[in-house]
Amino acid sequence: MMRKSMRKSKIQSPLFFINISKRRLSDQEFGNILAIPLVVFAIFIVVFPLAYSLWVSFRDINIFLHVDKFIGFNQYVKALSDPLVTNSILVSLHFTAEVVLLTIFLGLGFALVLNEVFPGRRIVRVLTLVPWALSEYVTAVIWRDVYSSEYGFVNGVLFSLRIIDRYLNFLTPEWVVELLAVAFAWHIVPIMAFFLLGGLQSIPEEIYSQAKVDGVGPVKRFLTITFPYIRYAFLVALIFVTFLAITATDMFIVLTGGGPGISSESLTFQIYKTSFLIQDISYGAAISFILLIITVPILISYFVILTRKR
Amino acid sequence: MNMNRKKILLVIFVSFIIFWSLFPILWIFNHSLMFEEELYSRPPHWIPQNPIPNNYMQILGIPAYYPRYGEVKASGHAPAILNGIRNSTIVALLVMTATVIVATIVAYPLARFNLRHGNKYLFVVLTSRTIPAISIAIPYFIFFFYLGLYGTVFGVAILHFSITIPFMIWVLIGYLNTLPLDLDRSARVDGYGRLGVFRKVIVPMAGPAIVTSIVLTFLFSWNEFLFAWIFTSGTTAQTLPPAFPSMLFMLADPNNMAAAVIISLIPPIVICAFFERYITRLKIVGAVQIKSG
Repeated sequence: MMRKSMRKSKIQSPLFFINISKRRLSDQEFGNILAIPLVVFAIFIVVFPLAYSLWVSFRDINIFLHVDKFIGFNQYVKALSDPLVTNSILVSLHFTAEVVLLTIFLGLGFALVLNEVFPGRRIVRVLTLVPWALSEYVTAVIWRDVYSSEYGFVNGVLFSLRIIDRYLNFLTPEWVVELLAVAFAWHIVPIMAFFLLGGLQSIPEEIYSQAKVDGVGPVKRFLTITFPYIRYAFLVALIFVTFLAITATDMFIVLTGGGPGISSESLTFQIYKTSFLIQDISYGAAISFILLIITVPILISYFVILTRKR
Repeated sequence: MNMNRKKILLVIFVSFIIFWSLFPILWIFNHSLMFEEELYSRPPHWIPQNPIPNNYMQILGIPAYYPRYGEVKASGHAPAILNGIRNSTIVALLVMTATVIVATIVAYPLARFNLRHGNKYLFVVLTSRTIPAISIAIPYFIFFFYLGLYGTVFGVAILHFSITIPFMIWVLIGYLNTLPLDLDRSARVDGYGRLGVFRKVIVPMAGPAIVTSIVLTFLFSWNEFLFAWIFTSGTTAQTLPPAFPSMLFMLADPNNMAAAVIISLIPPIVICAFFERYITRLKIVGAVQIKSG
């Protein structure tokens, strides 16, 4: 009774925020007092820097030489006619397409196998997850060893099988993006596999046995029963993997450093190189907004699908 | 007959999965137990002939004497690795502590009080965090340069924190939503205040989720490369990940490097083995947040 009447009383004093302490807070107020400042802070450390980055992209800044002047859209005009930027966009799209294809193929295969019942299934699942527990940069370091032209695994296997008679360098301009895609796919296949595994486990067993009794072949079983069940998980994983591939950076810095030549300079690597190696930070900021323009539709579709009623 | 064929196929596929997931790691582990001349033998040695721990000792700065090979000096990269392990641990502990305190405090009201704009807060926090790490590094580079946070463990910790906090809030809310709200109500009836409910009901009940997300926070911070590379490489605050590209560019002994990689893998693999059941559940939930930087 007491609390109710006190909550209703209007706050008259201009210093009402001091008076608040005299009565008990409602759950709403208490929650907002705890949550809002931190949420605002979380927005502040992301939205404000991005806005600042946009401002930087309209200027010509060099923090070491203390240069800072407004040049409008010049950085963007420059970026759109820069062959390095065009090349890097193509490399990124090439890389992303291959990673997505490989990940779908392997992820689906792994999920179908892991969904079967066999002894030691739990251990196999843990082992499958290991590449994802490693980080992207460790993946790059390890796969550098696998691809090495002096002591690499691929060379070793081919040499032992007498397919090649001397060690070769595989990281050539023609093949480097493909090899990077394989290494990156190795790192992210477990996510795809586990997303799809979640979908597969929601399929009731009776449907399968019924289909088998009816004499439906395995391919048709997959297309008519399995796929409709995992379609949602598949879509979510697909968009997520696409996003990971297009924003992959560590891979390019550690495994190839953009080389040989400019053949593996992805858009993210181009931003990194321009901003932090060449120190042209405002040009790098302008290119980073090109990357954002590519990634934002991916993210929006991701959130639309995640929040849509099924 | 049909059953047998299926079994054989299954064995082949499962062996392929295990091989595919582990061969690169086993390959580098193999290298870490060799001397350099064995590394270049052709055809390669799939298993080292005389496994030796020297590379690990060298990379950890311990000189070793072996009758057959003579004195093996400590690697020149040992200080970077040792310093890196120390700094990475400091950063990870800072991030873990800050994240667990802030995230539990924020997740509690967002999950339990049915706040009017609760979902909106959450949505904004989560979406704003899904920006490519490289885009966010540019403004922070300028801020940190002027604030004097460039090349400090605090600078990296702040950047990691800004990624782990939405992730952990997301995971905890997801978990708290599975607990019945009646627990809170009956505790309130028993005379506990909101903080009492938080201390006596929420924290113990959400224990497993809190522990798992602490572990994942640690793993994220330990594994994170890009921010560490841009903001600490070549400074005294250099963490472990940037030590690897530096070694590559300086053409370090590949065997020593392999040993260093294996050392850096210990925390993820231990965590994976002990927390597999929670991680497969939680990591997929938070996958969006933790990787997107």
